[in-house]
Amino acid sequence: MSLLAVENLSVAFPGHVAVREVSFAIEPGETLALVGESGCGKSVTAFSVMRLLPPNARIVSGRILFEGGDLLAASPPEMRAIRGKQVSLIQQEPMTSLNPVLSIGAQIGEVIRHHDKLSRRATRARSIELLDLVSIPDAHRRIDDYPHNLSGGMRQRVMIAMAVACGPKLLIADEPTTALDVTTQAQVLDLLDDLRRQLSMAVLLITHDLGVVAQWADRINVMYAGRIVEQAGIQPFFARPMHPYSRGLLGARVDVDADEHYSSNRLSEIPGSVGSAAGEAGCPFAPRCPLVEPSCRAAPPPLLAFEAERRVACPVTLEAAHHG
Amino acid sequence: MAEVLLSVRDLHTRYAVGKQVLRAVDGVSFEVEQGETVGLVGESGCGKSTLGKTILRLVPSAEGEIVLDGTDITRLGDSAMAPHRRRLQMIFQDPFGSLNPRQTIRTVLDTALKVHRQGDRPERERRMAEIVTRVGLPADALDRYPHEFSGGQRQRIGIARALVLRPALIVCDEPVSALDVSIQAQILNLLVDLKRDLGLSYLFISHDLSVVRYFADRVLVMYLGRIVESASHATLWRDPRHPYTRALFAAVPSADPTHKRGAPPIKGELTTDLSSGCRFCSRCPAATDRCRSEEPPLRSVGEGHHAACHYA
Repeated sequence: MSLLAVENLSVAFPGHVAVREVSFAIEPGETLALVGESGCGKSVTAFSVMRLLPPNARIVSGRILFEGGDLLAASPPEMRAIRGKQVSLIQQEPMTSLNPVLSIGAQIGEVIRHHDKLSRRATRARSIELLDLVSIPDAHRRIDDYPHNLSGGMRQRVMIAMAVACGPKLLIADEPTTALDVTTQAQVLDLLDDLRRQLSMAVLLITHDLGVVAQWADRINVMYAGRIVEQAGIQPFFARPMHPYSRGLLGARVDVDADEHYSSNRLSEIPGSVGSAAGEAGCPFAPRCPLVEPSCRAAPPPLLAFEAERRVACPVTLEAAHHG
Repeated sequence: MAEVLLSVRDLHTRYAVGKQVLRAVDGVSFEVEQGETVGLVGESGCGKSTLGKTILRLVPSAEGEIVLDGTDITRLGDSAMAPHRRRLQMIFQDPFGSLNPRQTIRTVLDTALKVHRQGDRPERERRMAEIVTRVGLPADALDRYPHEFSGGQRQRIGIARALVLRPALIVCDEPVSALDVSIQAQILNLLVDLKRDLGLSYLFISHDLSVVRYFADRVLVMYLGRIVESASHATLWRDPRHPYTRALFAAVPSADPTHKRGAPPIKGELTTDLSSGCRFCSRCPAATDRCRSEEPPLRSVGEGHHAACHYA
């Protein structure tokens, strides 16, 4: 049984549907990347798992099975027992997720004492252990610091300490390093990866950066306009991206290892913008797609299996691949 | 050798933070030649944006000289500065934050032209229509408001506003950082075309090494207010000399999963601790006693290649 299975999830806001018929599964201990550009529905998917959607959002259909139980059917007290204990979330901007008027020790302690009956002294000792675990130097002194005393990277480490405090089985990391510098990004992602192994938790890594995916994830789900358009393992995906959108994304990216310069190479573009998907009856990528055929405009193509572990929502590409 | 367009000499910018003085830019010198793109990379807080704003005289400098086309503009008064401002324009990171939501694109562009007394009404109309199509916006864009455009299109408006004045040098401060990857490529390609067609020069400020590698002719690496390495783009990527530059390169994740990264080469984060010695020594894997006591000057380490490290 998968640790988390999202089945046929659709989430609507007044006036538009943010997530459409999304299905994917996460196995225990793996890192699954959910990739896409702003507005593609990746964060809404994550918030649905946490049941932290804004009040005007509505789950239209689907099930979210965590260890077999449907989170969408859980009562509010049941959800409070799951959040932080079984499933945790870290967000992009640590400064806005931390309370500026409480010391970091008080904030980590709050998570621990919500789930476990521990004395204040034991909670403090456990908080110091956690700060040590996320490599914050001088943890026994730092525990009384406030968020503003810490740098961006240190704040994100505190968020991670809070998220793993009760040993969750699944950690959802929503753009965890987007606000950080590149040297700090590498440190924080390495830390997350170490903790994943030490605590044997699974990570749902939400990002727009394909470099981060290539280096830190096991499998990838590419989202476009609310739908998953490709699912694959990391090695096959980067060796041969299949969906035209996946190919466009990798082509438009400037890779630091590639010896490309404006004087000799032009970057390949994906014409138009995500906005062109509005009102499209068929494939949402059709208005921007170089391979578009009349049949693409009829109905949104389903995710079809290509190889084991690989599914692509583009019949045109699959047809071509099967014929050589 | 091409003509020097902008020359910055020993520039300092200081901010008062309470009773302390923060040296955001601390003795920076460089030149931008006609038609050249100079990339300025560094992490947040290193002073790269302050340097860009100081050159545009949006932030006052404490010491040093800014010479544009042979004229020292460092201490010019407002009216004497006006013609130079036209030649020196800026593109910002957040195109929405830098556009007035209550003004149509026509007002945005026309204001710039009027302030700089560019042409009569029909001439201004002609120039606005021309620039709007040149940056790839629909022809009816002039009568619309910023909220009607997507992020990429708003950045095109920001570019149109800078270009409508026919500048010589554009300071681009993280122009593609707020954009999605697919839109980034569109904007970078547009900037390349404009540079070629209009003979522009860019000072391109970014924290994204991949983008700078692609886009710049020459690269300056900045750390805590100082340039620590400068070289042509090809030299810098083939042979980085400063340990900070090497660490930056090593930290960028590659989109090739078989190309596995080693351990992060440096620990810690940018501090504001400016004690004696090299600014980087607290994070440097190769720091020695000499680094802790003596600040390394920026010195030549090869043809057109400079680095501020005792051991480069």
